[in-house]
Amino acid sequence: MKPAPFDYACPSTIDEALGLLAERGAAARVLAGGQSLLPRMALRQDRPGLLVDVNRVAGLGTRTTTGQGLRLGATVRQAAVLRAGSGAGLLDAALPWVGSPGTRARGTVVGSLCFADPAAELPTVLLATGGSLEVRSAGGNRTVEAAELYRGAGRTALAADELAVAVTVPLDTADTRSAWLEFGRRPGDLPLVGVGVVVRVHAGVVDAVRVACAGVHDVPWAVPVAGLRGAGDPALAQEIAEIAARECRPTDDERTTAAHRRVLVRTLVRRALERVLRPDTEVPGAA
Amino acid sequence: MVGVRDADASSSLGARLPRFEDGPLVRGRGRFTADVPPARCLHAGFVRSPHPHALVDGVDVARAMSAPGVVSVLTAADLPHIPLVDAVAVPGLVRTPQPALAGERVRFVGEAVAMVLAGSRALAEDAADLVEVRYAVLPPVVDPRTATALPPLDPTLSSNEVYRGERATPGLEAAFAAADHVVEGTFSTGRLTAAPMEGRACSATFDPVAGALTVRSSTQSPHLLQRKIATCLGMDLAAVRVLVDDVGGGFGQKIPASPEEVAVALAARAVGRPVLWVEDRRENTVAGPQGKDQRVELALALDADGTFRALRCDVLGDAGAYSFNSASALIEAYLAAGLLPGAYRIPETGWRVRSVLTTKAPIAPYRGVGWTGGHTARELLIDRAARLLGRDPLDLRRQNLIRPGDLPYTTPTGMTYDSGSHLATIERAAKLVDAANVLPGPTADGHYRGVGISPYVEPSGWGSAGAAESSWSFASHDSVRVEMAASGAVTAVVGTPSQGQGHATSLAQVVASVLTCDPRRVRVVTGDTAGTPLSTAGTRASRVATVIGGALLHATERLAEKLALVAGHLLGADPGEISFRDGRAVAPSGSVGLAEIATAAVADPAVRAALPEPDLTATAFYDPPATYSNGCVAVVVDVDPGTGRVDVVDAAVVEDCGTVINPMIVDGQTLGAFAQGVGAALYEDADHAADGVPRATSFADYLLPTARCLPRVALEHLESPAPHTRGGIKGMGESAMIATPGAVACAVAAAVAPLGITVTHTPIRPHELVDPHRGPAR
Repeated sequence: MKPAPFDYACPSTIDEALGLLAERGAAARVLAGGQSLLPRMALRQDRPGLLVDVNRVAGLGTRTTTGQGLRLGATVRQAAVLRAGSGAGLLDAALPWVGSPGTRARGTVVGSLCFADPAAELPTVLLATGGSLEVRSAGGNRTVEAAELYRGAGRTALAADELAVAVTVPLDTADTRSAWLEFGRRPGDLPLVGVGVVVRVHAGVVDAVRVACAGVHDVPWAVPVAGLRGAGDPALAQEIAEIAARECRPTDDERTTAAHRRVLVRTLVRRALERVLRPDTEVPGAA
Repeated sequence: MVGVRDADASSSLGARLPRFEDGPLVRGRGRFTADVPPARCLHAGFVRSPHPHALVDGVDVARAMSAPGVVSVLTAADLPHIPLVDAVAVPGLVRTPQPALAGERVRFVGEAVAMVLAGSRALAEDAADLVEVRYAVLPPVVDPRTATALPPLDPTLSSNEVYRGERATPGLEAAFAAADHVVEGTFSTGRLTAAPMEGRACSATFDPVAGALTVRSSTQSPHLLQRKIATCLGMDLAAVRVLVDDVGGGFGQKIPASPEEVAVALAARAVGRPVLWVEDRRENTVAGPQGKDQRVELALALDADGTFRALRCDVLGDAGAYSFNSASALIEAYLAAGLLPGAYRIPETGWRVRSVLTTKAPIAPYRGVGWTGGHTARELLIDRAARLLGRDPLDLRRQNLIRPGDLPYTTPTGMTYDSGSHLATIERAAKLVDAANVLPGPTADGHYRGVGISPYVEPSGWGSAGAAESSWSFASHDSVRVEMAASGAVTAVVGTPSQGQGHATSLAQVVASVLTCDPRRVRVVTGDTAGTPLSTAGTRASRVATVIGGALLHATERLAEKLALVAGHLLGADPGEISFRDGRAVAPSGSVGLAEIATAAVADPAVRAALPEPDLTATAFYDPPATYSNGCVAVVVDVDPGTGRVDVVDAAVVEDCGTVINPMIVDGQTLGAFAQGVGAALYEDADHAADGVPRATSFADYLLPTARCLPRVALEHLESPAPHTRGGIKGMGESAMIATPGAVACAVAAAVAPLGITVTHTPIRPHELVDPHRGPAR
């Protein structure tokens, strides 16, 4: 379990990092927290020719609030966000499920988003909250919306010469309620299925619902609930859970069966929505 | 008689003494094989087969040879040797030797075909990538049920079946014919790996002048390894020295000599430089010996009132690719059948045992070897019988358990349980989890609850007699040496290394109990075949406390006799008047401390003039009679049918291992084995896919239970001292691993029975506990 030989660079500016990515193309990989990449390299499942370590790049470790929401730089650790709270209820609810304290101490939010594991929590959180990734290359800047980001397991819309420099997650408003639920074999494991829900409840009526699932498809999956409206009660949770179970297209794999995943989608979507729709549920940030 | 423990003075036996070795180990001051690389050593990396079954058409090492840092690349053709072959002979068992490196054919994924020696492990792995092996792929043999229909893995064999045996008591068929009920079931226990914290590791240094080989290894059985390496390399036993320091867990996996260990020894001799191999996690998970993997078909005959009349089993063991070592091909299925009746009075039994070769890593002993699979199947069957008969499972067990008046009790399979507390332990365990008040089935929150009660017997402390009662021909005896230095410090020299069991503490307590001294004055020395007395079997089979403990009692008593001679001289007393108290020899005329006695024995000319041999060394040999420990594991589980999640919410282990040397060590052994048992029941799976490729390759997919998967476990100790072993000591290292998987499986089966779901194998996976056709669960 020793990685195959690789080159290592530790640039101090974004331009320097972008230059290395442009020069080495697909052979280069960005190293942030390394909690997924390095174990894979040790098993020789990944053999990058060059590691571009961005941990000393100036400006990537910042956390700011913008008009669009909370902006986290590429090297902001998961543990730091969990400790301070983000103001985005779903991110705060999901972070305790991400890995373990050890991996969260090094692992970054942006790194997990770019690693694009279909079962991971944070890509699905990004989809459910409607966040976006800020991407830079020698050619300029662009913003990639969550819904456009994922192309398959481990694949994103980022080109080989692009560097994700920050993520922006919309902040909750007073009527936002959210919940994260997942089922994995053991606490701390990647879930077999994870579910994030974000609803806006206005005067007892749900006027916006977003439901997204991890581990069901090869990219985070948004349950088709657009246009659904209803009273904020458990009947709506039941209805959406049935839609999710009907519309999902899971497959068998070595971790579990498609049928099990479908049951998990139904159960977890329903339970997650019941948490936020139950009138007596305390929802942080809600009026 | 002198040196006999009296009740007041023997406080070190039974003391809840923190382990002496824990301080160094938790501070990182252990000394493991990888911590002691021989000077100028080369690092070995193996080229391993990606195929479960293939002919090797050729190995091209040219590119690897020219890679940076590479000194040598060796294949089977470079290392002629006698392959590893089983030392244990069981009538009817076909043995298939395993080579250090595969030559013509590979038989499991991970089997080593070449070995790279380089300046570092990383360079060796880089070069191993460059070795080109040409394989002609053959069909894998994956399902043991169809293994006999496929061509034999070894062309010299007539079949992949390497053992078939049948045995029955004369009244078996009549008992089934007369039974009011016959309950049947087929249960399987999955393939596991022991997953020791430290993988296998060894180094070898060949001295061409002396013609001698020094091997340092992470092994449970240094003398066994010494013999195997000497045989494979064609060397005299005395020319091979095996050293062992700290070992980070073994659990049985490190009993057999590994092909890799033989390869390292061969390479060191061939290349003329020391070689070090430190197994990584992937190698250990894929290519290390694995465990369990049985299919058990059972039928239980009962009277209308629930009395057990007869039990019949048909056990099929999946031996993996070789029948090579420690009778590993047979050990699982055979031992399961031998312990078939467990803790119950069952007058008639019959068994059929088969073991087949498959294209998987060979099976080695793993804690609870053999017994776990048979025990789990029997307990699941008893619960099934209780449900069919409308009986409370606890009550049905209580009715059929061995009662105090039955002891000693001889099972129809030939084991004589010498003593025990079978009924008392089940009652206590059931009470500790409040089993009477756990209603199986749905709870108010939509989950399902169940309780599992799993009373066990552990054939423990195997000496040769215990082995024989398990129909096993097995030399299982030890010699020990006890010495006292002039300072009064005691050294106990034994041939059984510790893999974390706390021998430095527990064995010191045994010695100190005789001398009535502080156990901290006793140093336990092990781990060098050149200096320690012979341990034929090593640390295995829950035997160290019984065999080594018994031998040390005897040797220390002999030492005490010598001390009494000296003390008698010093005190002007008859040696027969001397007793030991608080670390002093006491006579009517006065007393003298151990240090003074020892100093006098070494340095006082008057003592030497009076006593011909005031030598403070004593040895003893021990091959104990058979003894059986017992106990009960009880668990309560909570099943969420909306996800398939199982939580073990409550648990108790009440064990009886006779005289307890150190309750804290017994607690630790119990908790560790309990955790492994939960892993076996719910998480761990070293299964192979239909194409013969192992599914788990690391701890990302071989799911060990973490602390968060485990409940608080209530522990209690009952003591039924063994009537025939020295000190009344029994073994207990495997107990909780025998009984916990069955307890958890029974609890889950009870919980989900109302859902129409049955449990027939371990590990139980979540998807088996949800019903996709049922409406949404809350």
